[in-house]
This record gives sequence, structure tokens and C-alpha cells, in this order.
Amino acid sequence: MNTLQIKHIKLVRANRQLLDVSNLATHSGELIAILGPNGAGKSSLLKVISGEWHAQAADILIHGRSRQQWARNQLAGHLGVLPQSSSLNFPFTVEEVVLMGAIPLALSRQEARIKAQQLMQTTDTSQFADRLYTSLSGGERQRVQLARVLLQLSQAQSAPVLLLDEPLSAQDLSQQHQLMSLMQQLAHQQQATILVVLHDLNHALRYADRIWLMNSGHLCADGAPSDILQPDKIAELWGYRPQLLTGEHHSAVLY
Amino acid sequence: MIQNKKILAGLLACLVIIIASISSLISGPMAIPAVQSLLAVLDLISGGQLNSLNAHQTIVVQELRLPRTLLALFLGALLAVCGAVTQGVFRNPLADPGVIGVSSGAGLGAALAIVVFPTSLAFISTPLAAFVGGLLTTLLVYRLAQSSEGTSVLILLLAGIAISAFTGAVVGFLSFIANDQALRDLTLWGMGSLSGANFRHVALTGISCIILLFFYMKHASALNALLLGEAEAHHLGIDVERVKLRLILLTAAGIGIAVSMAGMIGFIGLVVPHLIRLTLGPDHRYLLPLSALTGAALLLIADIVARQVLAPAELPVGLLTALIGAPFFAALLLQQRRRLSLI
Repeated sequence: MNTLQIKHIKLVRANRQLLDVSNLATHSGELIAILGPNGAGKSSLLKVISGEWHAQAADILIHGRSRQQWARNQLAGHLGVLPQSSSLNFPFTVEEVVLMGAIPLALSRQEARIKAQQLMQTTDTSQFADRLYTSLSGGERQRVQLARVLLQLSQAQSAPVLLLDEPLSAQDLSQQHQLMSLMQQLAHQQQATILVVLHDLNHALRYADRIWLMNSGHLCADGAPSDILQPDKIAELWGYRPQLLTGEHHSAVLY
Repeated sequence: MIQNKKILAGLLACLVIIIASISSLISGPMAIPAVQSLLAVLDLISGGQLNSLNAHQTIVVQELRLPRTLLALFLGALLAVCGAVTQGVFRNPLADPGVIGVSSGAGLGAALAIVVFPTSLAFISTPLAAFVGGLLTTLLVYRLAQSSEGTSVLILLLAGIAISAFTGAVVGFLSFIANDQALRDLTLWGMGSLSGANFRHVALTGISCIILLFFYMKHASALNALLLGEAEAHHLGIDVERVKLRLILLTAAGIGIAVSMAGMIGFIGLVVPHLIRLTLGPDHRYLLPLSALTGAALLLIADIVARQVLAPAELPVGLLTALIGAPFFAALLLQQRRRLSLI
């Protein structure tokens, strides 16, 4: 069964059509990178899928069920969103923030703590478990939020869906690669479906199984990274023609 | 470890409440020994003949000091939890119902009820009108200050100034047109004092305090999630709009009742949750009950001091809490200044 099935989405805001997409489906174990120039509708797409924004039409099935057919807590256990940034302004410790991922779950306090500690290891945040979240840098905060979202999805009965909106912007080079390989691992080993909005085409080439290319609210290509990220296509969308380097294991875009 | 710290803090607050209650029962112009005062209370509870006090002393304890003590405790708890929840819903540690104008709105409602419907139903009509006034102001302030980034502190505070100025003018106008009896009631009420406490006040405040705390506790996790951000709370499976509406309604009711009982008693809702967050963290599952206990202790102590400072005359307790609270608020502003410019 498809993890996500987007039959039709149409989003109009302030008399501007932001999104008009139809007939998209994802499978479990897939890491999909969403690419496109600014204003293409990448973030809007994630916001409509997550239910944060109401669209004029949003015919979306999650594991074959529409949003209304899910209990709120159950849906939260299967569909997670990593926010771009958080406006948390209260002095919670890092561990407390991670544990908030257990709010929709039926875990005992002790179970939740053990799971949280594991996930802080995974996201490389356990060294500041007792520090205040507000004292962390942007990149550290994002990894804490990731641990929280992973806890939220940790009890999913069928393949969870994780949405990430530009998760790499506050991370340095090695952290970017760590995060992307963690996402790849989650997809390939734990059969999660991951939708990630990226700016760096090279990350997409290297880690994604599939690319959704968007432009002015439409999906203009859906396929394997090496098929889609061709110089002609890139020039058409971004107005800049890069060079493509093809290596033995993976290729890279030079710009 | 941290768990123990929270339990310890709760026990400490309970201890302070017990000591303060005893000293509240024995302090006043009429000297009544401690043991006798307690016996008078037990006498009231058991309906028996435990009491060795004379009739005057019994009346003083049972009908003046006991209701006043209980009212101070429940009112302090009510104000503190309403403050904590307001800060949670607005996602802002400076959002006190008094500072952002909600209490003024409730005050205007109460004043209208006192002057326009000076009926024998005042017992119900005043809290009800205060509730409506508080609710309308909360919704107004919320509409004004809300954005996707949270709430703007600047707009919150400016809205508070505007609303207080407006309600001040209307209350002034009301006292101008009021008849003698209404004017007397209005003035007495406006001083923010617990001196008129009776058992009807205690019952209404106590019941609403317990009901409010019960519902707030049911939403404690949702409040924590709300602090992450509204979108994040939504993704955690929380029906954000519904939870917010419920909490706003409950808080308006709490503030309405508090204001109609004892006028403006400011800053308890700001100082108490802040102190708890500072020492034990912002987790609402602990913040709410501990704020209730600490708020109860603080208002009772403030009331005892207010009764003693100028004895036999007494200071309105609202004056005293403002005297402590306003500098505290200024210090908090100073401390938060850097962060404020970001919102």
C-alpha cells in the first residue's frame, strides 16, 4: 500500500494559486527530495500534507485513510514533521523537549525516557540532555527537534512518514552529511517514507531515491535523481546551467 | 532527583500555607490565643461544643478570619494558575492577565454590573459580568497580538495600556453617574481587598479554583506542546484551536471570579509561575499545582502583612501585591530585553 497518496491538492492564498498537484504516491522505504526554485511551492506542499494549512482541495490518503478517518493521536504517531525553526521561549531542558514526542503515545514514563535516550544518541544530542534548549545553537536545536519527532514516530505500526523542510540550513558540512545519511538509514532500514525539501542538488543526487521537481506550484518531474537532475532541466528551472560530473559511485553538480 | 525536588517544593509550600493560615487566624485587633482559634475552627467543622472562647471571639474567628483566610488561599491559587495558563496560551512568560488588560476588562464588567444592576442578584451578576468582560478583552488582545511567530510582547503590553485606559475612563464615568449605594459598593470593591470575605465568596472561589485546576491539569501536556509552537502542537496530535478556546474560556471565568470577589489583585499571576519556572522548570504538569500552592501561600502572607502594617487600619492587599510585583515585572522586562527584540 502507498504510504502517502496525493490524489489532488489545490491551494490558493490571497488570490494566488500556490499549489496544483495531483496523482502522486509514495512507498515505504523511500527518501524523496523535493527540489525547485524559491516560491515553487515546496514548503506549501509539506504544510498541506501535514495538515498545518487548509487547502481548497486536499484529497490525501495516509496509509489508505483520509485525515478524517484517523484518530489525532494515531495520525501523529505515523506522520511527523520537523519544523524549520522553533519559537520555544521557555526554559525546558533538552530531554524534556525530546520527551514531548511521547505526548501522543501510550508509553509509560520510563519507556519514554529509555527511548528518548536512544534517540538522543542517534541524533548526537545526548551530551546536552540536561542543558536548556534555549541555550543551544540553531543546528543543535534542530537535532533535538529531530530526536523529538523520531520519538513521536517510534511506535508506528506501519511505515511512518517524516516531513522535513530544509533541515540542513543551520548545520555545518559534516552535520549535513550525518543528517542525510541518518535519513537514508531510516528510510532503507526502518522502511520510513521521508519527504525532504532540499536546496543543495548534490545532497539530492547523493542520498535521495527519488526527486519531485517543482516549479510555480506544479510538479514538473518525478523520477530517479540521475534522470531528473540533468543540466538542461536545471537550466530551465533555475536559469543557470551547471556542469555535471559523473563519478564511479555517484555524480555531482558543479555550480 | 528532579522529581524529589518538585515533591519537596510542594511539601514546603503546604507547610508555609499551614503556618500562614494559623497566623492569619490569630492575628487581628482582637487578641485570640492560637489554640482557641483552632478550636473555634474545629467547632465550626464538627458543629460540636469544642469551643472555650466567648461568643465575640468565636464570631470573629468563624465569620471574619476563617472566611478571609480561605478566600485568600483560594484566590491566590486561582490567580496564580490563571497567570500560568495565560502565559502558556500566549506562549509568552510576560503575559499576565493584569498586565495585558484582561483584569481591567473583567473589572469593567464587574463595575457595570454593580452600577447598572444593583440588585440582590449581585452575588451572581457581578462575577458573570466580570467573566464576560474578561473574555471579550482576552479575545481582543489575542486577535491583536497573535502571529505565526508567537505573540508580540510589544502589542500585548500596548494593548494592556489601551484597555486599562479605556476601562479606567468608563469606570470613572460609572462612578460619576452611580447612586450613593452603588458608588459605595464600587469604591469598596475597587480597592482590591479581602475584607468583605464571607462563606459564599469562599465557596464560589474554592469550587471554581478546584474545577479550573482539574481542567487545566487535563490540558497540561497540551500546554507543554503549545509552547513548542502551534504548528508543532498540531503535529503532535493536539486540536490546537479547540484547546486554546477552552483554556481562554476557563481563564476568563477564573479571572472574572477573582476580580469580582476582591477587585484588582495584580502580579500574583506573573510572579508565582515565573518563580516556579525558574526553580523547577516550565513543565505544566508540575507548574500548575505548584503555582496553585505557592500563589495561595503568597496571597495569604500578603494579606496578613496588609492587615498588620497600618493596624488597626488595613491596607488593600492589591496595593501590596502591586508594590512587590511591579518592580519584579520591571526586572523581568530588563532580563528579557534581549530576547524581546527578536519577537
